[in-house]
Amino acid sequence: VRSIALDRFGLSAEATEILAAYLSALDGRLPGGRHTRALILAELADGLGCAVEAEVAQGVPPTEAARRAVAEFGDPAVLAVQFAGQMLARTTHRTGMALVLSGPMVGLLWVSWLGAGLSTWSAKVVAALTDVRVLPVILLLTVPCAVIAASASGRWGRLVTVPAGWTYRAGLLATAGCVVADATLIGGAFADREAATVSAGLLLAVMASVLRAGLAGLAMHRLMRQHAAAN
Amino acid sequence: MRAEALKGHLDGLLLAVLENGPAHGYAVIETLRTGSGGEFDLPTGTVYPALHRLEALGLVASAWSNGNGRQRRTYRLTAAGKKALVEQRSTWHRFSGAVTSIMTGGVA
Repeated sequence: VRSIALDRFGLSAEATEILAAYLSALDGRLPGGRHTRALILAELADGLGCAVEAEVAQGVPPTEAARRAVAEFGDPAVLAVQFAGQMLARTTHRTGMALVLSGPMVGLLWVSWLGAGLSTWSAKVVAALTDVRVLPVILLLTVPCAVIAASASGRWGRLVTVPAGWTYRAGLLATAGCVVADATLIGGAFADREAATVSAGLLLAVMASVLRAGLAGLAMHRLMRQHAAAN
Repeated sequence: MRAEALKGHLDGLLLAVLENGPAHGYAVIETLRTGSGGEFDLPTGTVYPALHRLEALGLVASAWSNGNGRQRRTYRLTAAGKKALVEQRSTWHRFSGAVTSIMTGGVA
C-alpha cells in the first residue's frame, strides 16, 4: 500500500488514511505474490479515488466522501475472496501448462539415459516404462490432470467446461503426481545402478527432475494457499 | 437490484458496457449504474474481479497508463469478447422473452 502514491490523489490526510486502511485490509487478505497484489491495489486505489472525486463533485466533504467510497466498494474480506478465486484460476492454468510443457523435456532426458545403448526411440521409451514399472500408472493419472488444469482455467476455459472445483483438484493431483514421478525416477536410478554408471546423461536427468519436482512442490503449496483464501 | 439477481448476467453486462469503447473499472461501474437507472447497485469492488476473470478468458484485454502519479488500468473488448457478447445477447433475448411470456400470463 505504501508504494501507491495516495498523497498524489489530492485528498485530505484523513481521507487518504481511510483509503489506505481499506487497501491495507485487502492487501492483508490477498494470497498472491507482491507484484500481483501491487497491481490489484493500484487499480482499486484509482477506483477509490474516482469514487471520492465523484462524491466531492456533489459537494460531499472529502473525509465523508472517502468513507462513502470504501463503503461502496464493499467488505475487503469478500473482495479478497473473489480476487483469490481469480488468482487460483491463473495459478492452476500456469501450473498445468508448465507441467504439460516440461513433461516431454524431462521425459526425454530420462528415456535417453534409461534406454542408452538401444538404437530406436520407441525401444528406449519401452525400456524406460518397463524399467520403472510404476511410472505408466503415475503418468496415466498425472498427464490428464495436467491437461485439465491447463485447459479448463485459462483462455480455453470458455470452451473446456469441467465441474466446479475439478480444475483445482486436477492441478493439485498433477503437481503431486509430478513430484512422485520425479522422486520415483531419481530413487530408482540410484537404487538399481552402481555409482560407477553415473554419467552426464543421468546427472542431467536428475537435475531436471529435482528442479521440476521442487517447482511442482512450490506450485502445490501456492495452489493450496490460494484455494484456502478463495473459500 | 441485489448482486444475487445479477448472477449469470454480469459478464454480459460488462461486455456490453465495453462495447462502447475502452473504459477503466470505475467508469464501467458508473455506466452500469447510470445505464440501469440506479437499479444495478452491486458492491463496486466486485466488478474488478469480474473484469479480471473476463481478461483471463480472453474476452477483454487491459492496458496500464500513468497520469499524475496515478496508475490506471483500462479494459477493452477483444474479438473473442465481441463474439461472446453476440452469443450472450441472443441467449438473453430468448430467456427474457420466455420469462416475459410466462410472467404476463401468456401461458394458457
